Amino acid sequence: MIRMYHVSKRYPGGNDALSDVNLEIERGDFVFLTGPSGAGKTTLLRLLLRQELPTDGQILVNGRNVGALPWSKIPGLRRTIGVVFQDFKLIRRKTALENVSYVLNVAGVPPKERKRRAYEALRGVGLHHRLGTLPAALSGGEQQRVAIARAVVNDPELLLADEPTGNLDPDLAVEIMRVFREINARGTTIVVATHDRDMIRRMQRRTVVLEHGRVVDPGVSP
Amino acid sequence: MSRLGSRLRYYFADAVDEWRHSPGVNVLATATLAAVVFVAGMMLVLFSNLESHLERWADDLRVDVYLADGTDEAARTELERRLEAIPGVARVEFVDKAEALRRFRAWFPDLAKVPDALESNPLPESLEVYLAPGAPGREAPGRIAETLAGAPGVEDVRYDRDLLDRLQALLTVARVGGGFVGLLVAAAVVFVVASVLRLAVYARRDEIEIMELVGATPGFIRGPFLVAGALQGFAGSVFALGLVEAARRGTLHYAGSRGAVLVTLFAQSALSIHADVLLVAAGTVVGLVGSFLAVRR
Repeated sequence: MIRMYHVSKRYPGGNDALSDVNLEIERGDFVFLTGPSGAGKTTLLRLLLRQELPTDGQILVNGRNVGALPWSKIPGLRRTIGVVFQDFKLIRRKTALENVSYVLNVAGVPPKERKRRAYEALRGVGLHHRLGTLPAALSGGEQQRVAIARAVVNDPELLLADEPTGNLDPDLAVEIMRVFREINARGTTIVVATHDRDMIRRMQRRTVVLEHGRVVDPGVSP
Repeated sequence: MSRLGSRLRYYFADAVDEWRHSPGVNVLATATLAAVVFVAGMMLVLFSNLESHLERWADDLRVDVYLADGTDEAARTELERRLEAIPGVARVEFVDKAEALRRFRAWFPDLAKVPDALESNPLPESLEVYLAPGAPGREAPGRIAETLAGAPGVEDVRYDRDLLDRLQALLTVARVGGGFVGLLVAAAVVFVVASVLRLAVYARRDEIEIMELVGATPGFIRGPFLVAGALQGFAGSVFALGLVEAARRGTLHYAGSRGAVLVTLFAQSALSIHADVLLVAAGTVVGLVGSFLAVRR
């Protein structure tokens, strides 16, 4: 699903955010990316999502050379990837249901179908009773679950999550991981960037360790 | 529903939703567009009224042929016959000295007694030559001048067409100049509106980033902004036209009560439905182009 060959990312005037990273993640894997702050976890996810271009190296996502994609093809790539952010990134003026169905709208799904699938996704994260609520009226955990519903509603091949439990209390973090496990069981490849060692220990999944932009432990699938 | 229809519906719904959530920027853009359409509308009212009056005056114009004292009836009848034979002449009416005096007294009541102080009626007899409307009537004065050149019994020929022609030429210059200035103003307004709408885009930059991250194409992100621009142009224009009509009626009422005839002349008729449609379309296009410039990057 993901192949990274000698990937480096250097920001102007800064140090290397990533340095000669080689990584392979198979379809259906559930992988944690971990390491201290500044290790390059977020940069790696941004490269996969083509928010950034690598300074060197090649990145293949589902057979597509992400760095060589023309601008016009980037939305298509992103529609095959679900993303969950630490700060949720929900559209403030849209309700929970509208936030989730927006992804389907972008993909051209008809309105009735959109509504049904968005409802199902929110039901999957236990928020079917909060459909018409704006993000500001939701708790942090609820907002994160809306973000997860949005990330999975279009059945993505790959789900990227950047510190998805960073703003949540431990109980909610466990709940979010339970949702991720279910999604993974349906075949979606999941990559979660986190520095929550307890959670990694509990989940017992492949863990890639980054330090100073380098892969110091590629981990192994259980 | 087709995919295009579904998209358009979403663009409209999102534009209206955005208006509800951030009324400030939207009202500012709408007010900017309304101000411009208002000025354009007032100019159009002025020009269209002036133009229609000039056309009416042109159709009412006549050539006055003053006869020399002592011109006998045979000579006068011959003149009338020759004048009526000229293409573009609708009819010829004879005004004798008594009728001329009666008109003088009617038009200038303060001077009504002046002729009495004279021994005889000083006003000349005349032939009023009425012209046919349109092109034949406009060409007739030249032929009349040729026909009357050296004709016996003709003292003087008066024709106010020159003044009217000059006014119409002035109006043409004003219309062309106004159109040119209007185009420049429209271009400037597009950029002003684009700047205002750029504020709206800036205010929604987080939202736009989210849309990009979930795979929305640039066109899909821009759609609601374009629709919002067009709606602002439409709403601003309709509002401005309402103001134009209110201002016109107010001017008529105010000027009419103070006898300002010239002002009432310029505000007598409302804009035609064609002008209204044209202005609303122009305002909508300016809003659309302004928002396109605001979101093209």
